[in-house]
Amino acid sequence: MSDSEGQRKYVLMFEHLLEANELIARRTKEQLTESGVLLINILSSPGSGKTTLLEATARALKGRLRMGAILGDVATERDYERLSACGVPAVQIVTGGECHLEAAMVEQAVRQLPIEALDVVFIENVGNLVCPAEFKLGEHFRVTLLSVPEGEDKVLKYPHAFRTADAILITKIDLLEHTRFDAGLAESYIRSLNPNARIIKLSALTNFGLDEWLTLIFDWHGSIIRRVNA
Amino acid sequence: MARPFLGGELTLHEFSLAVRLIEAIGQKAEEVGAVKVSLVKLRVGLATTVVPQFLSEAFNVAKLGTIAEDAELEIETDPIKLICWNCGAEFEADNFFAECQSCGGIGGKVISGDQIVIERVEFEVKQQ
Repeated sequence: MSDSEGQRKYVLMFEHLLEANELIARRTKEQLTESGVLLINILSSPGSGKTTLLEATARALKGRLRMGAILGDVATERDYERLSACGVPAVQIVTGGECHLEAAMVEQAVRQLPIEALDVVFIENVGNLVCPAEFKLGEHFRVTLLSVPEGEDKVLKYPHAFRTADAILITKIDLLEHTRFDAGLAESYIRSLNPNARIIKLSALTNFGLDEWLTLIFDWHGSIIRRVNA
Repeated sequence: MARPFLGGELTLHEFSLAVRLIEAIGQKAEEVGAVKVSLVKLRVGLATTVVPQFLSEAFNVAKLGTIAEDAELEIETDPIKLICWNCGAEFEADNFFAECQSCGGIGGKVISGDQIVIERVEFEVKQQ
């Protein structure tokens, strides 16, 4: 059709591009809140210890809170196998190239989990500090990992994932003496970006800081249960 | 819906945003009875993770074969507005670690510039 045949018009939309994603995220969050299930979204760069943290968390929560996991990766089901070996009901999302998880993928994964038999579900997002920060998945709380070998400047270089976190775990803290990582500097960068975030130093190998992390999970789970009973 | 890869092995989140944009304007075009979308105006805040140039390139791929095939995408960026953590003054910035003009404190709570908004769509309808 040429311009002469058509009539030009315009419409003002003022629509948020991510509104559709956020609608699904809100739906997931409401459903899980009603079921008394805490949903935690874990963000970090690849190799900063998300799966190892979840393995240690699964061992420590055994007999205390029933845990499930949703694992996002570009390829392979390795993480699924690792979490299943810990006795955790898990769903692997293989994104096939997509650099982040979206709310619709998580909503579908939640349907595959035995939600009524769970207290807490962890989403292990695709290892990436940029894109996942933009997509809400329905989580009650967001946790971002910063591992010691990465260097404290990652907070400056990739601020989005740290800005939106409720808690920031400084992982692989057992490696501190072997690196030039300055934990004080890391904390001051985090404080200028996100002063309300809980900061926990942790090693999933030595279990240093694990109790503080578990206490936070119990507190968060308690806040969900109080919402259900309110 | 199968999403084609843009370039290398990893798709950028800009591509999935471009697909969302096409879906949103396609829906709007249908509502208003458009036969063609000619212009899309988008506002992207500097506090988002979006690189406008990548989003433009992704849009030019995602629009192929849709009602927005001939559409031009205009992106305007919005500055980050912060409320100083230290003194509470409001200031504009181009990054999260900017210095407050009032007290020299670093950073603040983001109150604006963290959104991606479809502002305006221009289209053609059939002559009655």
